Amino acid sequence: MDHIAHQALFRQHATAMFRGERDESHRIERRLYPEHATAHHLFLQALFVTCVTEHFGAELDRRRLRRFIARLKKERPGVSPLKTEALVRVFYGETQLYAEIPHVDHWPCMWSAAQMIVGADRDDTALAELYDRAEATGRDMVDSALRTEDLFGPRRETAVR
Amino acid sequence: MRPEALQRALIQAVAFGDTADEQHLRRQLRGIAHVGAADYLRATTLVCLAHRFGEPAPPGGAEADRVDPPDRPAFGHLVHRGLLDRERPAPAIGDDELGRFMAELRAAGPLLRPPRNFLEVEAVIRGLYGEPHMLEEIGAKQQHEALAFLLRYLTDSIPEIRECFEAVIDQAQALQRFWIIG
Repeated sequence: MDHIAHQALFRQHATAMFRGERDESHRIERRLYPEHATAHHLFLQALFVTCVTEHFGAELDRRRLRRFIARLKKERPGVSPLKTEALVRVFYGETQLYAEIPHVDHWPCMWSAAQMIVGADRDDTALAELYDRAEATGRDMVDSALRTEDLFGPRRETAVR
Repeated sequence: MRPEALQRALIQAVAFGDTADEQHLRRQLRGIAHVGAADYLRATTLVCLAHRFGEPAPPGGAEADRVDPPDRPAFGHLVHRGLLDRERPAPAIGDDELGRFMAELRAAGPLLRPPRNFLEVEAVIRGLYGEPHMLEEIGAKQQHEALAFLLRYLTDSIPEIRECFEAVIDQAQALQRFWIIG
């Protein structure tokens, strides 16, 4: 599978996740895993950061975050409120938390937050635009991670540009 | 050693980071006394946290809103009804204040044996202060490690706690009595 093909699959998978098409998302996951797990995770991380930035803006208001997490607690039982909150804070500068959130929790926390922000109603054009932004964010993240001493510095590095 | 004397000696060893004493004393705990030791740890750490974060303003602002523990030892002025009330948890610590405290904890030296995961320590503090659901996410062993580290850190960094540790234990006992009989 070349990178164009798996880029397309990442997008199809995300669309299935946002629209609640579970059979379709599982079908694509079986094609992506395990060979493309790390690339897919990077895509998810970039998508998560893009959604979170869209929702919370350049500066994180902790009261808004608390309200968001209260909603998550109600709507997504079983997803960790503590770790979801911490993942958001990681990308607003509290990078030290990243290593303290078990990796198995990243997937449910990031997808739940992204789904809550994006909703199920965006059309294909709006989603394609979101994925374009996510991919640009992902490129920025990798680029800035290699240029700064932080683990991930995208929020602080790119938000001010 | 009498059970109460054993618990007092044990919590003192935990607070002052005396590992050899702690292990020796812990081996003498029998049956339900292990649960008692966990309660002592929680209560003592709470009393020390109340010292660090001061006495939060009573919800109504009125002096009448305060409740004195039945027999109030020297450290009594530190305990606000929020800490004594399981139904109404203490008000949350402000984000900035908690952030500063977490930064201090992260900077604590290896002699205080900090745990590896500070997010869990943060969750335990918030669990005790206003967000009880936070504790549901943290396993018993991690809670114990976080509480013991907090107690070591607060004992090390606050002279009054070090110097009046007997009074701290008295207050922790009053707190536990309140948990049992209200």
